[in-house]
Amino acid sequence: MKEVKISVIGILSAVIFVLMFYLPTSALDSSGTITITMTGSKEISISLEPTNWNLEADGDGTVSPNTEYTTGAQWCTLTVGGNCDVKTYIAGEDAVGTDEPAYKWILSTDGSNNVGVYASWFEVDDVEHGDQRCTLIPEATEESPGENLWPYSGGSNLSPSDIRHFGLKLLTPQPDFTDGGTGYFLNGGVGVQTTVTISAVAA
Amino acid sequence: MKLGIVGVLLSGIVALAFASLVMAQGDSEEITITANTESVIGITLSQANLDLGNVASNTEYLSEPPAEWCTITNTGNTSVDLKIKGEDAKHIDSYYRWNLSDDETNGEDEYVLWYHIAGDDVGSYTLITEGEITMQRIKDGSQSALSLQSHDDHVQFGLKLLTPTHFHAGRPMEANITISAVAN
Repeated sequence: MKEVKISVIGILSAVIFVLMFYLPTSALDSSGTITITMTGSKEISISLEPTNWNLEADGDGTVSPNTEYTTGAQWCTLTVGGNCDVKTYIAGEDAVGTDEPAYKWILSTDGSNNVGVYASWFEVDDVEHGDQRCTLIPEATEESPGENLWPYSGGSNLSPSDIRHFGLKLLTPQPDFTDGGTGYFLNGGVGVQTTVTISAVAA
Repeated sequence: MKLGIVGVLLSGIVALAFASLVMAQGDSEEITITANTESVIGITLSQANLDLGNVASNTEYLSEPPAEWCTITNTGNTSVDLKIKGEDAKHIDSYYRWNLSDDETNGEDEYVLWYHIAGDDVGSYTLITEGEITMQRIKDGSQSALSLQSHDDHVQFGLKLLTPTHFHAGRPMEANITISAVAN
């Protein structure tokens, strides 16, 4: 009887032993995941075409005192690139003699010209947006990047791929002297150059 | 009645089995035990997140370090090949997404992902697509399947991401890369 008990225990042990081989082990992860996070930055971009205005309205490559010159309101095309809405500003500066830096035309602050003082404006004639104006171009300051280019009711923000047209107008300084009823600048044959800057900031 | 007969027969079989064991004292029998260990497939990744922060358009970003950024370890007990797949990057608050390129070129709202295995040829990157592919080693210009042979075998890799040429700004994007192990 004792041998039978031992045998029974032996058989049970064998069964348990065999079962142990088939006990499932803990499941493991056979895959893993990596999560990439990122945020697209704001990118501001505008382009202008053309970027040069060579005043040769008198036909001889010269300009006369106290005379208005204009490009026409559709002259320049501004295209907004980047990926965010922008506010655009325009600012001018004093005109400087290209070969004589000491020779300057001061940019007018009120639209009136004077001896050695000139004025410039930007013109818009946008039927689609009901926008028609001629606005004085100021000088940029630390407080202001210039005049807001499109402050009309449609909003002063331009969006990527927006296109706007504008022109420039310039009033030359009063003559330095007059001879025979005709005004002249004191320095003849001097090249004068100035830059109009259009800037954009994220809206 | 039938149950009774069956019960009697079973009792008889059990009794005979015990009896044969008891009577076989002068004999010997061998029991052959055969067993197969269970194959377990398992891997772990040392990294779960790659936060690139603010990204510029049309710009490449590398994990840091570029080749040893993440370690894949075989936690199972069998040799495995590794599969990898990516997915479109999704804005967490809308349906906006960046499609995952399948030809190594980016575009508007389309980005590109690659991986590089540590120790592989310098600058060798393999494209990650939405379709699952077997991860490859690139050594001396030739490719071979990347496998982890045994428990604790491991390999390191890095990621490279090329942002879209154009995208909407200020939208947090999220994309998952899944790496799986399959027995080879």
